[in-house]
Amino acid sequence: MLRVNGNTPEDLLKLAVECISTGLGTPILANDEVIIPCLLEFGINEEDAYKYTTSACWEPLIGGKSVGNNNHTPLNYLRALDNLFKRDNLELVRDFDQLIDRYFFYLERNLKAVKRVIKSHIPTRDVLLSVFTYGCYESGKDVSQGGALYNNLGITSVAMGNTINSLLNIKKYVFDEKVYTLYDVKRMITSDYAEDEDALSLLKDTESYYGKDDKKVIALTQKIMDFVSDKLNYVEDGIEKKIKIGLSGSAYMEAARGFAASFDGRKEGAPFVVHISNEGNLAFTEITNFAAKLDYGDNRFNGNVIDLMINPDFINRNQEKFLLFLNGSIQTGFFEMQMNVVSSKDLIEAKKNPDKFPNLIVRVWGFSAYFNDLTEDYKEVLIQRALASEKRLI
Amino acid sequence: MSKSDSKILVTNIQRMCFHDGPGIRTTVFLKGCNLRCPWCANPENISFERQTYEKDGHTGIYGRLYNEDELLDELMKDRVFYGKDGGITFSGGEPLLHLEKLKDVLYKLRKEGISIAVETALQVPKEIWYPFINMIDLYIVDVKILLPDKCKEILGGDINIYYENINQLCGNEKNILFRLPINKEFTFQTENAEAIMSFLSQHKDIPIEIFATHMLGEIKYQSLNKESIPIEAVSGMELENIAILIRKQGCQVNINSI
Repeated sequence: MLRVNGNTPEDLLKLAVECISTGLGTPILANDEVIIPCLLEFGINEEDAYKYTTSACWEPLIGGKSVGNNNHTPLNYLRALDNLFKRDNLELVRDFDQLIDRYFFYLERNLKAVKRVIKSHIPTRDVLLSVFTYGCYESGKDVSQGGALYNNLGITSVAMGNTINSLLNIKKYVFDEKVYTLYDVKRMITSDYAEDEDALSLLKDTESYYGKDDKKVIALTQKIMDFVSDKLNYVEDGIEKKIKIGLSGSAYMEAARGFAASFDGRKEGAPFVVHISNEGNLAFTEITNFAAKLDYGDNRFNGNVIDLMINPDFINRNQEKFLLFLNGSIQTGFFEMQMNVVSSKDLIEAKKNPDKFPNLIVRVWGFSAYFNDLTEDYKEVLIQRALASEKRLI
Repeated sequence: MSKSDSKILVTNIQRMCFHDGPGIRTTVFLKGCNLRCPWCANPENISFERQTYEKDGHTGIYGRLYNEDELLDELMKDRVFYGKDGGITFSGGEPLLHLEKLKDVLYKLRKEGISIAVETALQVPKEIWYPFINMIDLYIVDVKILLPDKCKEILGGDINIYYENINQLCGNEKNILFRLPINKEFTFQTENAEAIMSFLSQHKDIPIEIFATHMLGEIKYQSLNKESIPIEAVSGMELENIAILIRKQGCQVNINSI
């Protein structure tokens, strides 16, 4: 990880671009300008906030002074919408605002379930960890008793992108254009579009909203983030702990397996949108602006990574201008950014003939891995994203 | 002037462009051109009217009317990425034919300190564009067919207007970048290539960018039910050789490998 800010020396950023363009998937960039104010606002001491690092992948952590799992359980934003269609009396949902109200009703129930999962995890005494964690000696308490200086925990999340796209598609096709009814939507997602191939291709042709720097998209995303932030800000599991939330999560495939279809044209079991990404965007500046306009304050800073798929030719031919893009991005105020620099051609070839590509490396979650070591479905996700992303070059 | 007459007809606004001038730029493709270059990669930008098209069984419309505020909103989105060198590039079509409608937008961009470039063939009568000469920071000027008869016959242009306009830009010490679309059939056909070399040698202080014309517009021609003229691909090696020849004239040249 490279922590960057408005004063990062040009030659260091240049070195980062050179490294990123090799396709190694590193470094991930973390923007101090956004992250440190979030930590200070949350109650982290100034000295500690300036020394932050990340725990597993993207979740900011104060090393040696905090205890608490930062990726406790993934929240699936789409579940509440799925619940709504399967359990609600759709007759009573008359406009988009009512739909959002009902979405929040089910989201709140899901958040209670998240709290139950957190509470079911009982911290055990850990003498060794306590010895190495600042605050335990000073307070005379074990880490399990809240001895660490900072006691908080974080949850990751998946499918915010699918949720935003589904909600805005419902707004467009059900409430604004009246092409479908809510009952049609219910039929489509419960039958996995079995008799609705036309609707499926319409949805696939519809622009995906999540990641566009459009005021309405940003406002809806923020509204959902704020709701979760408000309802899921602390938990009592023996000691009171603050909860942090974020828009990144590694479970975008695992949590999607077996999960019903959604009204963004996603079929049953297909992977969710990866972190903050949108391969349909025509310019990277668009997703950067989108991510930068979200407010990560209060407790909404548990990792918010933009994930870009970049064709090697694009970055290699334009390293100087890519550097300008990164400088602009830092100023704009993104939270974190990670990049996969790889061509669909290589990925497709490597999937067919792994022996020819023993050293092909890709970024996975918070780390990089050999492409050949990935499961076939993960390989496919990368291929599809690379293909979609390359369309913007034409 | 009716409301729609004052609106600006745009086919595309492309953000984060790396090849349309210095820095990071947003390029606005204005609809309407007075030339007919056979290798044109943007045939949808020739007509001054909105046009329906058909592609993959879908129909759509080339051209969207923007009012000034809508256009400005879009252009300001990447403000922070422009830095001191980047900004807005008006392309087309022929942007100089649209300046009258764009004048308030140009004024507001300048007030914000945003650099403005145009990609122009420069074959527009002086009285149409000259009033706006100081609104534009960089003129990216095509060098295409310089032989008077061929210019008229192939492009429908007027090379005397071009030369007069070049003199105006030079006389006013405007920033110019020459851009040469290279193909064997037209621009680098022997006689015209000689005319280009001689022209460039008279303007050694103006930087040059060369690129091979391509068939990327083919799908757009099909969508408009128009025939495209086949152009033989120019190799990277051939471009290199042309760059060497131009350098020998004492000019500064870059290859733009889009």
